[in-house]
Amino acid sequence: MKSNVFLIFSFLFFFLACENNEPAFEVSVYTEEVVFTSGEKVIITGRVLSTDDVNISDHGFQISEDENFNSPEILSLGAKTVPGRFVGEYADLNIESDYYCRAYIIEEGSEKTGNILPFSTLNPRIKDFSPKEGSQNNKIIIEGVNLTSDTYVLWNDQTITPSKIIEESFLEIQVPAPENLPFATLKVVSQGQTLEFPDRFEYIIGSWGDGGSIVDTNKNNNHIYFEDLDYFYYGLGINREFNGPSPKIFRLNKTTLIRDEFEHEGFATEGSFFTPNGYFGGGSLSLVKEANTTLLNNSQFFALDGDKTKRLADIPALLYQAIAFAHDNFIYIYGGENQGRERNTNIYRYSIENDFWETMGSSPYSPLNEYPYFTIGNKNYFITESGQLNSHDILSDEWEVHAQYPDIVKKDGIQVVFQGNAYVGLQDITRKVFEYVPTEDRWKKKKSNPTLEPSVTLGTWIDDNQITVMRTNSGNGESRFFWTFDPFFF
Amino acid sequence: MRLNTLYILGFTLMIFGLSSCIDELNIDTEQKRNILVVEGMITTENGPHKISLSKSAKYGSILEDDIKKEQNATLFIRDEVGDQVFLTEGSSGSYFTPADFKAEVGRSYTLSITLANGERYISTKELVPEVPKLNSIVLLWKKQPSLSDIQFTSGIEVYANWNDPEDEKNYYLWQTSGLFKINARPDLHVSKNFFGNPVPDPKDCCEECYVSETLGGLSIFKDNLTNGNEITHRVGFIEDDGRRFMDKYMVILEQRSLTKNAFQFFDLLNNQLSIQGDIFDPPPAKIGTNIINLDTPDEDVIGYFGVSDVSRDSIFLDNGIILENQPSRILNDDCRVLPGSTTEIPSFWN
Repeated sequence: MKSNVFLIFSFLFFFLACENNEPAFEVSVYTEEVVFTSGEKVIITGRVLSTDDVNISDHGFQISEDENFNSPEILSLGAKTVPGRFVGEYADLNIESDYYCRAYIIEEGSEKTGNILPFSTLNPRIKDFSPKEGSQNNKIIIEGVNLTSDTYVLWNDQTITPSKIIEESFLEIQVPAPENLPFATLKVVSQGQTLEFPDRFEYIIGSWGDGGSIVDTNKNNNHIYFEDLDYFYYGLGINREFNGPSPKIFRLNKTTLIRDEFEHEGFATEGSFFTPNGYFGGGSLSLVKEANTTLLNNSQFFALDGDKTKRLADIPALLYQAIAFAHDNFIYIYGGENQGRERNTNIYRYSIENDFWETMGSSPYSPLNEYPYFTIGNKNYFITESGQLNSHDILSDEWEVHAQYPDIVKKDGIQVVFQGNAYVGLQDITRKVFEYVPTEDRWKKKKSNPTLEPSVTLGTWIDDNQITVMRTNSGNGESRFFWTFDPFFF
Repeated sequence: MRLNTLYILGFTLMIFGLSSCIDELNIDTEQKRNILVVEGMITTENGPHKISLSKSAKYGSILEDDIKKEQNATLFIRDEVGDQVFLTEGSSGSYFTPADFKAEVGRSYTLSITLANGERYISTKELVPEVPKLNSIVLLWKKQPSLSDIQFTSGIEVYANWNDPEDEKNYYLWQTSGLFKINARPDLHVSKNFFGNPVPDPKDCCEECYVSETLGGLSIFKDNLTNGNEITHRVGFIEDDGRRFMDKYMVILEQRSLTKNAFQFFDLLNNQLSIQGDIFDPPPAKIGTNIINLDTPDEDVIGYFGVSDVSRDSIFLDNGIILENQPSRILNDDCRVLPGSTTEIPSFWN
């Protein structure tokens, strides 16, 4: 009896030993997560759950604005034979819309759907564009988010299709030719939604023209220059031929470019102050080198008076490289070095009516006239060696700091005010010119001087709605080149 | 006799039954491939935050290749409103967010990766949980049990103290780092001559250095048993190596929040790292990831893209708590040879 029972259990053990008694597991589908949404795109993950291989003729996601999934968009991923994760990307959605999604599978002809996950598409936004100034055919990158594939740009009213849309965030466009305006407003249109930048794009404009040339054997720098109706005057400064200050002043007819020597009875000086309307004085009577510990400065002060200069009351300070400004009936003097090579911070004012000097207070720092300076309205502007733009209001006696000069500041460039804006540049051998707009307190780049030959600036005047610049080769050239510059031409 | 035959037949059937369930394990070595490894975390502190990408070596009976850094990939991190930052490649395989980028508590972030070969990956959304502020850092001297009376391990145990919020589940990770002053003897530096014999080779500089170090070890915690309480938890151990505590030592502790999924990742990683080959080891397990290959979503990926809020505190170690110093190990060299050392005195040091 015992043996029979043992045998029966042995048989049962043998036959049941390898039987898989796993319960049948129904294949199901699960909508896992919406991992990415943008303006028009969604990425969803789902899972097919099963303990064994599956025979699914199609799987994917259904996307609908209706929670009941009436007429859903179908994102089909095809047949699937193994369970596990699947990912779907759909990029044809409307911006700023609410959607529902669910995973689905079709097994043996019947559809099974997973849980429903809601999601919302995002709104396109713009952030910035760069650069904000440039020329025709330059590339501009517009930065934003959720920019859809149909995005285009309205350049003023001109439609531009981006050459690239990178990760729905960056648009690359090419600057078209300017039409009627030297600037452009930029609008970005994504799925009909128009977004406008508050800043506008500025074309780098301006036109340089050849104004002729003359031969001049007087090789001066650290000189003075000013203008009066038909003539441009330049002179004094270091004469590089005999390596000392020059006593000469020349007069140049702006139209004919005929030059003659002008009568001046003052001392030979270099580093004198001067105003655009012909007041000048001070400076050093001997050649100044960096190593000089003392200077031999001059106190003489002159004004242009017809065919000659007229000596006026001496300035009450001995200053080298001081800065002079003319305002109505007054001349203001700032900065410079005294004979002990200390920087002057007193402000001196000369009354043209009374031929009288007085001290008007002090400046917070001491500028030198080899760096740019100009006058707009009641304000005298100075650019420091580090590019900081400061101004002094002569009426309120207030000092202000303005927009930083956008380039490295070098010596002896142009510094001219034309139609309310200042034009600064062409310092040392640089060809760049910038426009300062005081009403907006910002600098704008202008078209650079086209010459590739290293040249230095000797002076400027304004005539016939354009700026004329006198330059010479940076070597010891004897030619003086004249360039005309129309800052508004495009 | 018949009974014996039946028993023999029965035992034969049982043995046959037991042995019949053995299946041969076939490993398809043709499918082995390099697996993408993603390491990186962004926090609520200013960047740059680093994400590292590499491809693992192929596992097999012979060494086929090496771990490769993934270069020239395009990575960006995007939040739920679509703001995204692109990462720039630094050293090979390392990508950095802009320095002014920091995560915000309550926002979700995803990491998108496009490798140089065009393979695309995306992380699942990671929501930045707020981390409670550290109340204090507690330091205790600890002598580890040792069979030797002479040689033993000792050091400082670092404890974080904070108030755990009551109304939420919190997951934590800590990173401990330190800064200490070291006095070296470059004048006693010895080098080896042509024959390998030591010869005096004094150096002119430098005796005093300040060394910053990040201490290893992964310390994580969840508040399921202590929710809503003031908690003091051991988060690190700074071993006395004979150099660290020669002078002042500053402990810097970062308490970071983790998402539940990130905690599970680090917990499992910790678990697997603890395997030492004895019978008490946890079973080997596949460590999950939150990185998905968009084209082949079942592809294995290693690593986790994490997001954390950070509470940071620091404390100078009071040397009085060290009851038994380890013998000093003077560095007979320029102190700048130590990793993370500088001769510049930190502004807060005195």
